[in-house]
Amino acid sequence: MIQDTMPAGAQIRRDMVAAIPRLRAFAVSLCGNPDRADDLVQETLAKALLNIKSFTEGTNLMAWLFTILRNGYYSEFRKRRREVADIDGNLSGMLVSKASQDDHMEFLDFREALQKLPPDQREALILIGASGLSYEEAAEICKCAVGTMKSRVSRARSRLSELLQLDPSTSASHATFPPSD
Amino acid sequence: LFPDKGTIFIAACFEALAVSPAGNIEFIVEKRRRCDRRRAGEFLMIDKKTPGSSPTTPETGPASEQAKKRTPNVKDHIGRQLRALYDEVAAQPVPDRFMELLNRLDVKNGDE
Repeated sequence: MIQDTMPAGAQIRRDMVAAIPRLRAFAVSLCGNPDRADDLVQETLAKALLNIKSFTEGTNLMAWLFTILRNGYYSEFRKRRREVADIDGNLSGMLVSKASQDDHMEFLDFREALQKLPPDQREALILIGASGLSYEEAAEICKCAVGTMKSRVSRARSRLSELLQLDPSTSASHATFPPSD
Repeated sequence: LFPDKGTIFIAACFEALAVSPAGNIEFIVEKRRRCDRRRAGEFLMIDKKTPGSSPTTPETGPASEQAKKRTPNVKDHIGRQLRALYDEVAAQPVPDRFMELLNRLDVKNGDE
């Protein structure tokens, strides 16, 4: 009975609920602060529902939601530019790490390093490296060329390996060749 | 310390111009950065379209061999850390506030 009278939007709503965990993960990785991340997700869901008519059914809902979240993040980012992301306190409280103490320290360093990346590189790395989107999908979300997306991911990895000092020769080369931009 | 830096840069420009439209400065600058990194044996993130043995990097020897071996590990390491962060949040149950929000907005839409 309920299924027969189910409105056309019901499927979208179900998909939306299913998308929430990935939206939260994207938001936390992007802004580094779980409270702000959940505010971003809330804002995203509200905007999505209010503008649901502009979503074309059958197209990629996940990408659509990521786009809304990303736009929200950047408009907030511009407002709060001077604020420093709370990396240590909130996130470690939210995450229950089963790893050993050493691994945990390494994990904190990684999150810190991730937040030090320029936002365009960070989001590129998250979308490609963690969210499982293709380069094409990620490029559409970020409104850039696929080649640009690839270049951002590459630069993000390179910069992270510097920040994490994964390569012993990093510091020496860095002193000799400061970035040219 | 790197006396042939200029040569490397010019070579990188030619390489870039050969595969991309002329005047793509951003691409050239990126190429140059990669070149610098490669020379320093720092990090090897080269596009697949770049030939394995690039003519712009005459370096051979134990340092670059080590760097080549290290690269996949660095990439894997970053990938693992990234997914650990992402998956840990993605695995958490959906907070009630989101379900309440969806229900509230659904009701509102239904009234229209």
